[in-house]
Amino acid sequence: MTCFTNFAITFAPISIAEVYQLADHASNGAIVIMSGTVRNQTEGKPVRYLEYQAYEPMAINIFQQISHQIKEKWQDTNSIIIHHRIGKLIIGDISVLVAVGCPHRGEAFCACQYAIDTLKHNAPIWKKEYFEDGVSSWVSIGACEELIINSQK
Amino acid sequence: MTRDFLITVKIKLFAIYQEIYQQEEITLKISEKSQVKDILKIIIQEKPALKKWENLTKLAVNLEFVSPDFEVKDGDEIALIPPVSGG
Repeated sequence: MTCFTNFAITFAPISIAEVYQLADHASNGAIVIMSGTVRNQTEGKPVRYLEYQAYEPMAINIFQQISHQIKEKWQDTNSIIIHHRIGKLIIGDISVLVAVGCPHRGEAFCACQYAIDTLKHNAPIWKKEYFEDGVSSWVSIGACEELIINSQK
Repeated sequence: MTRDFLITVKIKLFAIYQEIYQQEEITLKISEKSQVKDILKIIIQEKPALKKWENLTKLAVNLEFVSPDFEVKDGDEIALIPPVSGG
């Protein structure tokens, strides 16, 4: 069975209506959409805006690999859409949209969560937080996790 | 007598690397049969401010993650991937 995929990395705003339409398929019983948005604070520190950067061709390859893995794990998947925004994003903006269409909701939820979790760990995309107090720093979730793992050893 | 042949590689810089270098990419001439970890060492030597990122940086060659001992070839595109934070 064929699975429709569509990937994009763009400076322009990304659209829920568009990814929904791309994920729409007569064999779907469910479409799960994950929308990642810019939060107004990190650990209590007020955030002004974020700046996203991507190694675009490699990030698109990673999206492709994520889709291959989803098709192996949930073989009835009909559609996988991943759109990521880069550049300057303000509070409330959508930074990423992942839509997965499947015959049943269970696999659609699982596959969508798998996609966003894997994207966050592997895709060469970075964000810099600009705080209200003028400080800015590159976010490194992966590094925090590695430090936690190391301290538990 | 052995002669040291040089190869040319392109290094893509992102996030903290791009900020420290103030450039999106650089070109390096290195000895052939260099491993990708040797390139990271050169970069860290050139910009000691990046030292704390060394052990957290993953390496990619021609858009694929590779192990540190991967041998680079002339014309390869190498990317230094500090901890990612997409999504």
